[in-house]
Amino acid sequence: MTEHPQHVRPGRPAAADGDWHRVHPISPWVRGWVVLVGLLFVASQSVGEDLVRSLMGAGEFRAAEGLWITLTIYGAVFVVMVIVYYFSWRFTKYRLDDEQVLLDTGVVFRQHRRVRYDRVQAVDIRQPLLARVFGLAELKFEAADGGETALQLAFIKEDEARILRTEIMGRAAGIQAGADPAQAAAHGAAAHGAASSTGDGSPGEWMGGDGPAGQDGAGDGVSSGGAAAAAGGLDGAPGTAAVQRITPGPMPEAPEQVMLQVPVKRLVGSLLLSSGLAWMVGTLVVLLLGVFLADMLLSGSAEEPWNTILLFALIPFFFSLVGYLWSGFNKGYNFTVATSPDGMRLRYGLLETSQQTVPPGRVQAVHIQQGLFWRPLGWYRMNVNVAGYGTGTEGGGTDKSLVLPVGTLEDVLRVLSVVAPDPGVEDAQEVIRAGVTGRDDGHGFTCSPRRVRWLDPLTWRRNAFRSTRTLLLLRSGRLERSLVLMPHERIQSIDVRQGPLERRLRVAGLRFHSTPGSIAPSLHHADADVATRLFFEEADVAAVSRRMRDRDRWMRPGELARFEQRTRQVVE
Amino acid sequence: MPGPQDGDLRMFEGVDWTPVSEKLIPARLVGGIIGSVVFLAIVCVPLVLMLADVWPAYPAWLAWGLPAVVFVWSLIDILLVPRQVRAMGYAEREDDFLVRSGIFFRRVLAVPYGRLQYLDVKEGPVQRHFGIRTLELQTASASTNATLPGIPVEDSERLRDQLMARGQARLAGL
Repeated sequence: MTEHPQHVRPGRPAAADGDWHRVHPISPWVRGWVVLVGLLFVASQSVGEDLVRSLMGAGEFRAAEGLWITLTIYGAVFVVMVIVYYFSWRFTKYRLDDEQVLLDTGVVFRQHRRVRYDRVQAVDIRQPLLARVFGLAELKFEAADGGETALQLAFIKEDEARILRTEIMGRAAGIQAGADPAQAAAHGAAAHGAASSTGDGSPGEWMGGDGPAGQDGAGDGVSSGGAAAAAGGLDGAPGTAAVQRITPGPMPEAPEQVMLQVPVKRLVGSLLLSSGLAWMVGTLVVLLLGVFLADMLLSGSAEEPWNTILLFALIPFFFSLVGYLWSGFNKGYNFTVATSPDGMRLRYGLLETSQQTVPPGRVQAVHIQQGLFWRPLGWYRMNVNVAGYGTGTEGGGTDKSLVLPVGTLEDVLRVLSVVAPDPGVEDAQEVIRAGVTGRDDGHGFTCSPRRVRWLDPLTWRRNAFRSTRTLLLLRSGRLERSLVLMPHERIQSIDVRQGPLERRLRVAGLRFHSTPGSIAPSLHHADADVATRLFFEEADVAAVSRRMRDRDRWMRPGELARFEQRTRQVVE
Repeated sequence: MPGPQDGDLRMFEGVDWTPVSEKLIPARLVGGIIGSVVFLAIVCVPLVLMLADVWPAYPAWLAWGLPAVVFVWSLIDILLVPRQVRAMGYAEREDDFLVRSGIFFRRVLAVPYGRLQYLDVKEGPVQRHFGIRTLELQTASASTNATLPGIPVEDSERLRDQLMARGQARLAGL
C-alpha cells in the first residue's frame, strides 16, 4: 500500500472506512455450533443414560460419584472452546483498502489475504439458518481461481454485509483508485443514470416486446459506453470516461429491479418431473420388480428375510431421493432474479438463504436445458459459467452456477437479457426458440450433415451452431434439449478434433474452452469445412473482440491503441 | 488469413506449421522402450512363476497370451512414434498460437496470445540429453491442454519470451 487511507470519507459507512474491522464476536460460535451440539450430545448420553435408569428405578444413579469429574471435564472443554473461539475472533480482521480487500486470520498460523477489487468475479451473501437467527451474514468474494472462494467474511451484521457488498461491487465495476470523492460525487448522478439505463433497458434486446426503439436503445447504450471509455483511454484521459461508471463516495445501495420469481408450485412440479428424479424412480422400480420377480421365481415359500433385507437395502436409496428433492427445493425456494446496476442478483433459499451478485460481463457461458418431461410444460433451466464459481457440487441443488431453476421461455429471455445483454441479432427471440426446440438448418443455424445420421441417429438434426455478432450458439440434445450461448470474447481457446471415422465422414468436432464450470461448450460432428471455418473465425474474433465490448479496464493506453488497430483490421 | 480448402482437416496445411524437433523421436523411443520393457517384465511374472513350477495352476494361455498382447501393443506404439512426432507441430500466427497433433485422432488447438495466463518450459533427463524441452501453455480454462513437446532449447527460450511478450501486449484477461 502506498498510503494508509485514514481520512474518513464523508458519508462513507463505518464498515468501509478503510480501517481494520473485526467480524462479529459470536461468529466462531455460529460456525462451530456443531461442536457445541456434539459436546452436549455426548454429555447427555453419558450422564443421561444413568439418570434415566435411576429414575426408572432400575438402578442407582451411579454417575453421581463421578459427576463432578465429568462436569469438570466438560466445563474445561467448554472453557477451552471459549478461549479458542475468542482468539480466533480476536485475530480475524478485515479492511477495505482503496484497491483491495484484506483479511487476516489465524492465531498460530497466520494468514493474510488480499483480493483486488478488479479481480472480483462475484460477491455472495450467505446466511445459514443459525446466522439468520442472529441477524448475521457471510460475505464471500470469488476471484478467477480454481473455484475456491477467494475471501470470506464470516460473520458480520446483515446490513453491514450489504454495505460492504455495495462498496466492493461499486469499486469492482470500475472505480478508479484514489479518485477524488468530491469529483466522483459530481459524476455520480450521471453515472447512475447511465448504469441504470443499461440495467433496465437491455431486456428490450431479448424480449423484443418494447418495439424497435427499445431494441436498439439498450445495445447502443452498452456499446457506445464501451467505445467512449476506449476513446477516453486513447486520448490519455481515462478519467472522463471511466469515471462515468463510478458511483459516488457514499455509495447508495444499487436499486434493484426484480425480473422474475419462481413460483413454489412450479418449483415443486419441476422437481417432480425432473430427469434426475425420473432416473432415480426408474432405477427403484426396476430394482423392486427384480426383487419381486426373484422372490416369485426362487421360492414362493417361507423365506421371508430375503425380500425384507432387500427392502432395507433400499432405505439409503430412498434417503438420497428425498435428499435430492429437498436440496432442489431448498435451493430453488423463493428464487428471485433481479438486476441492479452492479450486476445480476440472485436470491434464494428456504432455511439457508443466499444472495449472489454477478457483475455485468462476468458471465463466461450460458446453458439452457430442457428435460424430457419438462417439454409439455415449456419449462427450462439455466446455468452459467462464472470464473470463480468453479465446477461446484455435481448435480446437486446447491450448485452456484444455477441462475434459473425452472422457468418459461419468457423467463429464459429475461435472464438472458442480464447474463448476455447483447444478443447480436435482430430476431433474438426466434433464434433462441430455434435453438432450444428447433431442428435442422434454419434461423441461421448450421447443423450436422446428413451423412452422420448413422453416428448420431437421434441428435444429428439437433447438433448445430450459429454465430451472431456477439454470441456463439451451440445446440444439441434430442431428448434432453440443450443450448449453450458463449460470447465470442469469452472463448479461452479452441480445439478441433477429428477421429478416423469422422475423417471418413468428413466431419469434425470443436470444443470451446471456457473457465472451469459446469458448462463445456462443444460442437459435435460438424462438416469439416464448416468446422474449420468456424475454428479460424472464432480464433480471430476471440483474440480481439474482448476489447470491442468490455466494461473493464484491462489495458494501458498504448497497448489499447495497438489493439484497437488490430481489432479494426480483423473486423474489416 | 489461411482459409479452409479441403474436406479433411488437411486444410490446416494452409497454415505455416513449424514441426517439432526430430530429436523427439529418439527421446520418445527411449522413454517408450524403457516403459514397455518394464511393463512387459511385470506381465511376464506369472509366466516365469508357471514355468518355474511355483504356480503351476496358472492357465498357460493367459501366461503366454498376456505378454504377447502387451508385446504387440508396445511394438505398435513404438513403431508409431516417428509418425506421431512428425504429426506434431505449432504455428505462430498473428493473434494466436496453434498446436497440432495426432495421426488417427487429429487435433488442432488455438490459443489466442491474450489468453495466456502462464507458460511452463519443462525438461526431463532424457529430453535434456537430446537438447529438447516441453512447452506448456495455460489459459484461464482448465480444458486448454496445450502441451508441446520436442522444442529445441534455443527455440524454447525464444518462444517463451515471444509468447509472453505477445500475451502481455494483447492481454485480454478472462
